[in-house]
Amino acid sequence: MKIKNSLYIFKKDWQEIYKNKEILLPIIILPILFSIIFPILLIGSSLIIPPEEYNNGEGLEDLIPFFQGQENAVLKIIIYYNINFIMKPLFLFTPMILTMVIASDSFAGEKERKTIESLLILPITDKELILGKVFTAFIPAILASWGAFGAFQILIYFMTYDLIGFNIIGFDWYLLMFLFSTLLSFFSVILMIINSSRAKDAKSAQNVAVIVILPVISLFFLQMFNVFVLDVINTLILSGFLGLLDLLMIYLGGKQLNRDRLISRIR
Amino acid sequence: MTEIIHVENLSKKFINKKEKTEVLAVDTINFSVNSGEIFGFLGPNGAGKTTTVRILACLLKPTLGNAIINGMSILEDQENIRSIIGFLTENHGNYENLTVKQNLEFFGKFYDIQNINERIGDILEQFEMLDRIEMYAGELSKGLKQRLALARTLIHDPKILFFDEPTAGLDPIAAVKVRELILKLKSKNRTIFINSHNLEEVQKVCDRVGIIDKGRIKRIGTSDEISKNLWEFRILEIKLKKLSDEIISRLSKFDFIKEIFLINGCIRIHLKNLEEFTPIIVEKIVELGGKIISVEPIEHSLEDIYVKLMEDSKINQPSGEK
Repeated sequence: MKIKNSLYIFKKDWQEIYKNKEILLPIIILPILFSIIFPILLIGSSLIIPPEEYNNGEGLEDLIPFFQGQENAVLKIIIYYNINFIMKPLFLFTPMILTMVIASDSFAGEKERKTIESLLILPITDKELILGKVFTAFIPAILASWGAFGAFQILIYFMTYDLIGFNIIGFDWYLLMFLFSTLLSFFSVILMIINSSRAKDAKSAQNVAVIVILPVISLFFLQMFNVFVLDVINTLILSGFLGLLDLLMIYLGGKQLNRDRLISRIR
Repeated sequence: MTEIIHVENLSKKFINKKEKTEVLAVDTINFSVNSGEIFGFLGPNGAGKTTTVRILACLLKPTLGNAIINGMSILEDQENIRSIIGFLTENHGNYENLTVKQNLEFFGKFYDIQNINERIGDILEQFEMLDRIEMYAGELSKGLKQRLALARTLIHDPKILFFDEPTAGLDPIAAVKVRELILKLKSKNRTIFINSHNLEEVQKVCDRVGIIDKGRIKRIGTSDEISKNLWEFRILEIKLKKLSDEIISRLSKFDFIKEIFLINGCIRIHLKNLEEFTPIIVEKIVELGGKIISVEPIEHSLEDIYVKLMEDSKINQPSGEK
C-alpha cells in the first residue's frame, strides 16, 4: 500500500474544501464556538450573576465538595461545574460534527459533482482510495478539535486560575480529548463514508448522523444531571467500547467500500 | 495486427436486493480489438455499452468471463491495467473547484511521470490551453472543459483509450477538434475504444464497430462487412446524360435485377452481386445508346445498418417484452 497515493487524495480534497463554503465555515466556526465563545459566556455569566441566583450552589456542593468552606465557594463550584460538567461533553461535538460534514461529502460529493468515475479510474487500490477519504475527514477534524482544546485550556487557565487556585482542566479532559474523542471521530468518519458511498448526494449521506449525535446528546444530559459522569474510569470504559465499535466499522468498511459497489450505484 | 483487448464470455448481472430484481446488463459477449485500431461501440441507451467499458477499465467486476488487456487479466491486474489506460467519461469529470493546473497535477501524480510540470505545459500547449493554466475548471466553457478532460486522460500517455461519448454536448467545431485529436492519436499507434450514439462520428473515425443491444453483441466488423451480411441486395447508381424509357424498360427485363427506380435523375438498381452484373448493365446501356456520366455503388451508411439491426431486434423480440 502506498500512503502517498492516499495523501494525494487528501491534498486534492482539501484544495476543493478550501473553495466550498458549506464545508469550510463549520470547520472554522465550530472550534471558535466551543473553545472561546461558550467558555467566555459560561464563566462570564458565573461572574456577573450573583450567587443567590444559583440558589447559593445548593445541590452542587454535594457534587463538588472540595470547595466547601473556601472563600467564594459557590462561585468556584459553579465555574467548576460549568467547565467540567457542561463543557466537557460539548467538546465532543466539534470533531463529531466536522467529521460528519466532511466525510458525508467524501464519495457522495464526488457523485454529485460527477467526478467519481475519473477518481476511480486512477491506478490505486481500493484501500488507498478509502484511506485518502478517511484522512480528509479525520485529520482536520481531530486537529481542529485538539486546537480548540488547546485554546480552551489557555483561556480557562487565564480566566480561572487566580480564583480557583489550580488548573481545573484535569487528566480526565486529556483522556476525553485524546482517546475518547479520537475513537468517536474515527467511528463517525467510517460510518459517514460508508453511508456516503451509498448516498446520491452529501445531504442525504448525513441521514445516519443521528446514530452518533443522539448518544453524545444523551451523554451531555446524563453528565449535566450527574447520572453518568465522564471521569477517568467511565471515559476509559466508554473508550474501550468505542474501540471495539471502531474495529467493527473497519471490518464493515472493508466489506462495503470498493469500486464495484461505488460504481454500481451510478447510473 | 496484434490483439490488445480480448473479451471472452463477459457477463455482468446487477442485483437489486431491495426490489429483488436482476438485470443482465452484459450477456456473454466476445470480441477483440487490435492494437492501433479505433473501435466503435454502438447501441441504444441501456444496451450495456457503459457497463462493458467500465468492466474493461477495471471499475466493475464481471459476473462471469474475463478480458485480457495488453496481456493482463481484468480479474487479477486491475491496478496495472488502469495505469496503461485513459478513460474519458461521459461527464467531463474535472474538479471544478481546482484550477486547470491543479486538476492535471492531481491526476498526473498517480503515474510515474518524470517531470510533471513539463508534461502539464506540453499537454496544455497541445490543447491550446496554456493561457488558461491558472483558471478554475468551473470557469471554462463546455468545449474547454472537454479539452481539459482529454488532457487529463492523456497526461500519462496511455496505450489504450476509452472514450465514452467524447463529443456529447459539444458544438460542431469543438466536436470536429475532438475527432481530429482521435485520428491524431491513432497515427501515434494508440488503441481507441469509443462508446457513442453519434453514428456519423463513429463512421468517420472508427476502423471497426461493434453493435450491442440488450447486453448482446449483434454485429461486429467494418461497416461494409456488416452491411454485406445484413442486406441481400446492394444498390448501383447510374447517372446518364439523358434518361430514356427504353433503357429502363430493357434493363428491368434482366432477371438478376431485383428492383429499378429513378431518383434525382439517376437510375438506382438493386442487385445481388455488384461485381458480376455491373459490367453487363453498363454494356447494355451503351448498346442502347445511353451516355453514362457515372456508375457508383451506394453503400449503406452506419445509420442504415444501425436502424435495420434495431428494427430486426424489435421484430425478433419475444411477445410481451418491451
